[in-house]
Amino acid sequence: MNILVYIFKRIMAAIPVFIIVSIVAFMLIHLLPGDPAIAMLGRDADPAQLESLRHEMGLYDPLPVQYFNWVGAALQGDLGRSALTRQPVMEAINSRFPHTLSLALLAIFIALLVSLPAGIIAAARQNSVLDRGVMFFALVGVSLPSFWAGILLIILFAVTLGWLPGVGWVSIWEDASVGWRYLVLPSMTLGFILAAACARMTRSSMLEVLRQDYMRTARAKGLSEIKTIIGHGLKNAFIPVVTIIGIEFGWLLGGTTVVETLFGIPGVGRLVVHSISNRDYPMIQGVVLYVAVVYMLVNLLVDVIVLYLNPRIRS
Amino acid sequence: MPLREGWSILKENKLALVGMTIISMVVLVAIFAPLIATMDPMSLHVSDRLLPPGETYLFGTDDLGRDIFSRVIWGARISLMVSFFVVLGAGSVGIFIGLLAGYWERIFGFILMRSMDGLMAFPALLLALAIMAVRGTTLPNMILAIAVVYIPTFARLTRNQVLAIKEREYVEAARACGGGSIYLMWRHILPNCLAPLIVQATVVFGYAILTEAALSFLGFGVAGQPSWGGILSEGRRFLYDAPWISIFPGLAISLFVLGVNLTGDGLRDVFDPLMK
Repeated sequence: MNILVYIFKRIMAAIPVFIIVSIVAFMLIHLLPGDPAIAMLGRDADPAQLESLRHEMGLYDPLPVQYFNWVGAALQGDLGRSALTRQPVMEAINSRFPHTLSLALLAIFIALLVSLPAGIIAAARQNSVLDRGVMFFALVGVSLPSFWAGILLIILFAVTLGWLPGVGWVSIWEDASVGWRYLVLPSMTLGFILAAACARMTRSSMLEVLRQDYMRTARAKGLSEIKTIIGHGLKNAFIPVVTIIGIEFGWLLGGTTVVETLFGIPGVGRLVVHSISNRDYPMIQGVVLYVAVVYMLVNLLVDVIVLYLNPRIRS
Repeated sequence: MPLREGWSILKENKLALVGMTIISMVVLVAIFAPLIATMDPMSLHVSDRLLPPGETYLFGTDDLGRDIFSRVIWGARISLMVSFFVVLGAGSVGIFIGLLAGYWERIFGFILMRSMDGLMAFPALLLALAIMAVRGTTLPNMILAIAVVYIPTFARLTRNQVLAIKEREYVEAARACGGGSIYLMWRHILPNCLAPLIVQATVVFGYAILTEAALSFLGFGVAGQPSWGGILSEGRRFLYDAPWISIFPGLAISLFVLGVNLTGDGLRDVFDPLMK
C-alpha cells in the first residue's frame, strides 16, 4: 500500500476521534453548575453584564448550534477570546507554545539518549546484575512524581551546588546562550522519568527481537554481538519505543503542566493552570482542544514513522 | 491458573514481596493514622515555624509550624482512598464497557470504542484538571475526575480480551447449551479476561496516586485535609530554606508507587512468565 494512501486512511480514522474530542471540550463549560456566564462573573455580578456576556457567548442558541459555531470557528483557527484579558485564545497559545515545545523536545532527546543504551544493555545481559540494576532504576523512575523529581534536582543543582538557576525562564528561542541554562533542569526532570518508561519498553522489545530467527542468522554468519544488536536488532526494537513515545507524549503534555508550574515557565501548561484558577472558560476550552489535537497529530506522526521503520506493515 | 500456584510463584519473587509489604504498611498507616501521628496535623505552632527535622518534629515543620510527620501520616489516607476508588470506579465502568463492546463488536462496539478513543486523546492530567475545574475541588470530584481518565484503558484491554475469548470452544459450547448473552459474558468470558486486568489495575493504581498528587500540587487538591501532593505544593515556596517540607511527602509518594509497581511487575510475571 502506498504511504500516502495509508496516511489518508489514518487521517480519516482520526476524524471521529476529533469529533468526540471537540464535543467533550465544548461540553466542559456546560457541565458547570448554573450557567457559564454566572460561573465566570460570579453570582453577584451585574445582571446587565451577565446578559451581555450571555449574548456574546451565544448562550441563547440551541446547544447543537452553539457547538457548530464554536467548532466551525475553531477549525478556522479562531478559538474565541479570553474572558479575562480579551486576548484571542489562539494568540495566547501560540505565544506560549514554543516554550513548551523546547521543553518537550529536549526531554524526549534526553529520554532516548539514556533509555536506548540502558534498555539494550539490560536485554543483551538478561537477568544479570547489570540488567537487574538498570531495571530497578527504571522502576524507581516511573514511580517518581515529576514535580518531586524536579524539586530534588532544584535542591541538588540550584540550591546546594549552585550550578544552574532553579526557578525562572529565559526562552532559548530568544537568547540561546542564557536560555539553555534555564532549560536543562526542567527537561531533565521530564526526560529522566520518560527515560525510565522507555528503558523498560526498549528492554522488553529487544528481548523479543533477540529471539527472532534473523538474529540467529546474523550471529551464525559471524557478525560480532555488537554488530548484530546495532545492525539488526536496534531498528526492529526501535518500533515499539517510537510507539511508546507517542503514547507517553500525552503524559509529557501533562507533565509540562506540572514542571512549568514548578519552574515558572510561561508555557501552555501554565496557561492551563492559570486559566483554570481564573475561571477563564473560553481559554480552558480552547487549550484543551488545542492540546488534544497536538496529541492526535503527534500520534499520527508516530504511526507514519513506525510505517517507515517497518516495511512489513507497508506491504 | 489456580490461585495457589500463582501465589507460590509470586512468593518466590522477592521484589514483589517487598512491594506488597510497602502497600500493606501504607494501608496500616492510613488506618491507624490517629495513633501513629504524634500531633494534630492541622494544629499550628507559631513559635516553631520552618524547623528542621528533630526530636519533637520528626520531619520538621512548615511555615505555619505544622508537624510535617503527622501531615505525611494523615496524607496516606487521601492517597489511598483516591487511588482505591479510582481503580474501583474506572475498573468496573471500563470492564463493563469493554465487555459490551467486545461482545457486540459491530455497530454498538464501534461507537463505544470510538468514544473511548476520544477520551484517550486527552492527556490524562489535563482532562482530570478540566473536570476538577468545572466540578469543584472535593474528594468525590477528584475521584470522578481521575477515574474518567482511566476508564478507556480498562475498556480497551477488556474488549481485546473478549474478542479473543468469545471465539473459544468453551464459550461456543455454553452458547450451544442455551446460555444467554449476559450469562455467557458474566460466567464464561469475564473470568477468563481477569488476569491482564488485574495487572492493569495495579498500573492504574500507581498512576492514580501520581495523578492525585499532581492535581494537589497544582492547587486543585481536596481542601482542608493534608495530602502528599498538597504538602509538596506548600513546600515549593521554601525549597531554599526548608527543603524537608518537600522531601518527605515526595518520598512517601515515590515509595508507595514503587511498592505498587513492584507488585504489578510481580503479578505480570505470574500471568505472563515469558515477559520476565
